[in-house]
Amino acid sequence: MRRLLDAERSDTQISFRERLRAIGNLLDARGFHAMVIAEVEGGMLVRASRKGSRHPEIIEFVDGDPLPDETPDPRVEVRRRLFPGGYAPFLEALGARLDRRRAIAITIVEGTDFVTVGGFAPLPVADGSQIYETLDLLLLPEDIRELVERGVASELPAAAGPAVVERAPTGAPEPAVPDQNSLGAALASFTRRLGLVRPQASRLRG
Amino acid sequence: MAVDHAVLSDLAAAELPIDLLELSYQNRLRVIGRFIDESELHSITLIEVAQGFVLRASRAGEPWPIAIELGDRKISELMRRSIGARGEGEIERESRELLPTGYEDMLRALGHELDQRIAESVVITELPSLFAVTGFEPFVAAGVGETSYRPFAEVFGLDETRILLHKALGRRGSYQPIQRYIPPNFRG
Repeated sequence: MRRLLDAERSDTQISFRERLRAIGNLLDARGFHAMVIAEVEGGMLVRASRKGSRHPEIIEFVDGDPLPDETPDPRVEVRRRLFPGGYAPFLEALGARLDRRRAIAITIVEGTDFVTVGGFAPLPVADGSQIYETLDLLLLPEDIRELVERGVASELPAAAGPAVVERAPTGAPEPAVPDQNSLGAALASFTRRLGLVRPQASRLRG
Repeated sequence: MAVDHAVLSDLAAAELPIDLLELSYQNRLRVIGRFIDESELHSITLIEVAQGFVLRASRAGEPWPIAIELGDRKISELMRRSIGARGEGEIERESRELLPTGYEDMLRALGHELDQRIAESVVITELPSLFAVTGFEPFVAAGVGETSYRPFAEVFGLDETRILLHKALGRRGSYQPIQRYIPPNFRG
């Protein structure tokens, strides 16, 4: 079995939409909860716990391996407060947004009443250089609900989304590190473009 | 609380308190934080797994993350190194608004909070404006009387991290050194 920590990064990658939907289906089919998804060089690391267990399991998705093809049994109801329709619709819609932003190195962490989304996304720069902005998203229940309701279709520029996307070039692109004064403005601008919400810290505590 | 017997002799030689031996979140996360500072990593996600942690972080100037396995043995090694480095002065740390004194202090402070909750299976993820901490904690369900576990999640934004670090600094200020460690076979 290939191990994720030994795998190498692929620059041509199946879209986040496809991968996250497959991961969501697997998590739904096996009744997992407390999901953590972290993209690393070579694939995706997923940690989640089975229903009734506090001992999480690690599932590795190595780039280039076939995506899992598990379908949740509609007769089995798994109640999740944040994801009443299951993980798959949420992750697919989020994946489509991340594809639209050409995001890389994402993390998705489920809390009891929020989901954080981290990673990097290239900023359009006039001189063609590669500048990255840090994703800084905290999705509250209403944000998650809206994302799922709007669905994937609203994220795609054409009728059908790309099954394969080009990843950002390798090399050593500098992540954009705005100074403290411009951080808020940069993030506000970014989250407007992404269409996701970044609430103030005072809204964060659940 | 479990202790790492491999570092007992180091502590005894350095005349340091036995508290540093505990495999608490505070001690483990502190040395992981020091490792992150020394390695100049950023944008971390720390995932607890069986027998250790997986650290996912980016290097300076490179957004693509790396994944590092920090098993219990590696953490013990980091603890020994940390003990050995005491008195050698501060290492250089990158200072950011959310992390004014680096990862070692921040993760130590978060670790203390996790120890207080008797947490298990934790995940710590860093975004530019916050740390999110999730995991499981024990609770006694009303009317049942049995201890069960439930998921918890906390978000520490800028204000909360300042309070957290301030509290941690206060604990360090009241710290009472040094009860010399005496190996068990010398007691009594």
